[in-house]
Amino acid sequence: MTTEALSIALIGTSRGGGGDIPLPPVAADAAGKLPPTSPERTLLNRATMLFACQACGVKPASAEGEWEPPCKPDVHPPCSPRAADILHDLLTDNARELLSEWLQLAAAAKKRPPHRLLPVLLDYAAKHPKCREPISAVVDRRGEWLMSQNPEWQFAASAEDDPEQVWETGTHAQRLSIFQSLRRTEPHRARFFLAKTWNDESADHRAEFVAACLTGLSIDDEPFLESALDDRSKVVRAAAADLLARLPQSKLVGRVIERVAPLLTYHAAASGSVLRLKKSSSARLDVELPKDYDKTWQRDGIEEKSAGKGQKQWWLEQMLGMIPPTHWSKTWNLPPTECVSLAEGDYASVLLDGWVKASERNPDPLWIESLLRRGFTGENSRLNRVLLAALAPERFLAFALDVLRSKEGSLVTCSDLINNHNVPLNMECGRAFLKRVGDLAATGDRQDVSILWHMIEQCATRLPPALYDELAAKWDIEREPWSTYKRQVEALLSTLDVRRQMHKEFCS
Amino acid sequence: MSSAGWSRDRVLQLAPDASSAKSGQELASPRKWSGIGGDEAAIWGLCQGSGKNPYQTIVELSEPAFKCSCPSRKFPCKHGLGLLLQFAAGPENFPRAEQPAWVAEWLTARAERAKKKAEAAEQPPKPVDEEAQAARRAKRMDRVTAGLSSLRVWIDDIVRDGVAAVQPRGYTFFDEHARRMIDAQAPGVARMIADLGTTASAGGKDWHVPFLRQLSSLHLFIEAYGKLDQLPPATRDDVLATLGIAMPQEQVLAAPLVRDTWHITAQEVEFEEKLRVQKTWLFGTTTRRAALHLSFTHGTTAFDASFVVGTQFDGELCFFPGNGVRAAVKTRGASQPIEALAGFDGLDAACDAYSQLLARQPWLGEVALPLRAVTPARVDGSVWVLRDSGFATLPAAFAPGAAWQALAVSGGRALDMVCAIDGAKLRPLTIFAGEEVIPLGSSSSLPMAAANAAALV
Repeated sequence: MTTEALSIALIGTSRGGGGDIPLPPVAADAAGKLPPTSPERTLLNRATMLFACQACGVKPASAEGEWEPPCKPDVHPPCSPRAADILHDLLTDNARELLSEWLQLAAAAKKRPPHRLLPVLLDYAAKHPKCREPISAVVDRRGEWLMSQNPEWQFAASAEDDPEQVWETGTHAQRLSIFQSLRRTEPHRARFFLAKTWNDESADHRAEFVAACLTGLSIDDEPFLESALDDRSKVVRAAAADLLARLPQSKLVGRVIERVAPLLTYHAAASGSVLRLKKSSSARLDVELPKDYDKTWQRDGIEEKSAGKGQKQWWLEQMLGMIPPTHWSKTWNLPPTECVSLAEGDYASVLLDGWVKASERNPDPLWIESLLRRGFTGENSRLNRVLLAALAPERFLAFALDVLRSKEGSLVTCSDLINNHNVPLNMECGRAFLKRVGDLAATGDRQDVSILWHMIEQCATRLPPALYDELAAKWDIEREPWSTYKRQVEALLSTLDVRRQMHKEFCS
Repeated sequence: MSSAGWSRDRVLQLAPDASSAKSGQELASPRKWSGIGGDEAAIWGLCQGSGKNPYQTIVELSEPAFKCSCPSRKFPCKHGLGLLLQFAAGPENFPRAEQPAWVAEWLTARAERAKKKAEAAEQPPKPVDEEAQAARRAKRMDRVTAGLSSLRVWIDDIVRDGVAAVQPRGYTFFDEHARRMIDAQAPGVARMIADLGTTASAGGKDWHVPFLRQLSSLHLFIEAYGKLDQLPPATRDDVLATLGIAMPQEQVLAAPLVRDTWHITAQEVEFEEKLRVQKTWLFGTTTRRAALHLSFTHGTTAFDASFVVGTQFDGELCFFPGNGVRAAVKTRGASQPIEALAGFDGLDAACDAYSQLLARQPWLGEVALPLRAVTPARVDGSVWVLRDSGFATLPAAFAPGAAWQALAVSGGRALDMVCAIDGAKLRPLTIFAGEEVIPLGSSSSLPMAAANAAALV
């Protein structure tokens, strides 16, 4: 009935004839008693009655069909209401670093976010791929249940899904997620899955899957990675070569060592003889550059074209980057500090850059520390962030404390130390850092003001929140020197306060 | 001390705008405060501002009422919000203490004012110059009659030329007539025309269905107004209320009292020009009547903060004359959290209740009704519905993002929900899930609503 009334109303009574639209019997009687009027009013009168009948007679539809089964109970208890409020704020303010901390704390305390915040949290994960894994880790069954129903949230496979099925039919994000989790537990099975579909994957996806083999990487992966070196795509070859370079016993590393060995000649220190027939000489390293680019190098991921560097130097640097640094300390029978100090002369930076890359792939704490300390005095006084990240946590903390206390590094060095590591600073390091900043602020050097502003802002997410009280007591923003940094110190304190509350909510 | 039912969300709902809410949160940290204390009646503290002396801030907890010595014209100010937020987050930080003189002074003065007001209310109202009032009213009615007759011609034209021809003409086509009805002192009719414009410009696949429904409603109104003298008194009141004629307070409060335990079920904020309208929905546990309480504020003044969704009170309501749902609160006892939401146990029963209201008041619009044990779900993977325990469903028009939130909270199980029903669909406003009360409507996203308000002033 509505359709008829509407079709007349749509085209107009001037074209659609009278307004005498049909009505349900109960209304038709009443409408019949109305005095005759123009077609427009007749239509409106009858439409009024029709809509009244509809609205008053609205009935729910009966639907006993199939409904999504309810969600299974969650495994973990919810976080405290205060922790939930903090999470809500962090999501609203897009405070990503603090959000990561919240998620870590929740995962460690085996607590989950409240259900009402799950959609916002999953939306956040959809927008920020880096947050997907930590978010998927805390959403519990309810979150997985929701994710299974919203295509926009299907970036992770649920622990309960059948990996084989996800691999065959899932979205790329789900497949990558299942691949990564399989690599953790059954790396060979992940390899087997990948082999099945290898020829159907796009080059970018092949490269991503190869790179994902970093998780659970072992010499068992070598045959597969060697075969990937023959891939027609350069990105796939590069990804495979990178992984093989992380396996010290791989054939690739052997090949590269063979190529580099003739180019580096080490001369041990010679002490002068008692009779002074010979002069004493210090140890040195003679470096020779490769003469020609051998086409077989391409397969091992060594690029021919360089960007901005001398070509031959670039070849050597890349190859050095593939050799575990301990190979040199063993071959030359020298401690790493002395190896590093051999980098002198024209090719010093080729050696150092190569070793930095190599240390990232095969981290050795002594090598890393030697390279870092070398960085203090070098032309580029910045600490290498990659190297810091490759140090084990305890090693990093000890190193940082030593540097901060010794006043060895510059202000910028301190900033690198505080900002570029995934290890939360301990109280000692935090105090040492604050003391450095405090000493610098007290000297009142105007040049440092803007760097200090920046550092105070940046350390907010890195300092242990338990330092809050000490900091609030010592850094009195009403007085010099802290009044110069009032805004930054206030922001620092309020961030530390939020973090302190977060820790309290999850740790008690 | 205990937080006495104050949660962060509840405090933030009191914020007059988004910036106050934000500054309030920044001030909700112990290190900004000194001399913090409290007792059953109030909490207080000193907040260091930019001036020499710290601001003295007091929050009276029952109503709540705010007092602060800062110069801000916002109400409540950020200091009041900050203090109350801090209380909500950590009542243990508020040691029970003797009221300082400045606190006791204000609380005493408040109590005295309240007493005087109560006494004044006892006094008989001032006599009204009935003759002058009648003359004013007759003049207004004439203007409305003139306005409606031109509107009549306009509507006839629309139907004659076809509704399809309306959409391309855009919003101004409606706006002009809406303004004319404002000039004709018929703001309610102006709003109906503005709604028509919104429906037409929103478009969509079947926009003409609601358009024709709204147009019919306007038609019915004009017809009813023409026969005002022949209508039953209650319907006449409905017409006048729909027209937008304000009902004098004493006339409303003279209506029969309806005593009940009232559940505060939902709240929304709407914007009309520079005015903000807070719509609070109530439901009587025994009478099973739905009631709508409106409060109006300008600019950045806060609403009456005492209506908190999820609480109940024993009290007396006066329904406005007519067959509508609008009511004024005459007396109210202490607020308490709702333990079990009173409401309808099936969608059928809720539809019936709405039908009965609509049959008597055809311009009723939406009414918020509490529905018990309903489950949010999707049909065909896209259309959201609510399903009751008997597998009956009605389409549900959720606010953006709210559908997933409802689904997340429900986990596919039944929960209680308060929905605005309009005779075709449900518009979920509040979720009651165990102890959690979650607002879903526009006012739930306070920062957004407040930002809108800030943009207006």
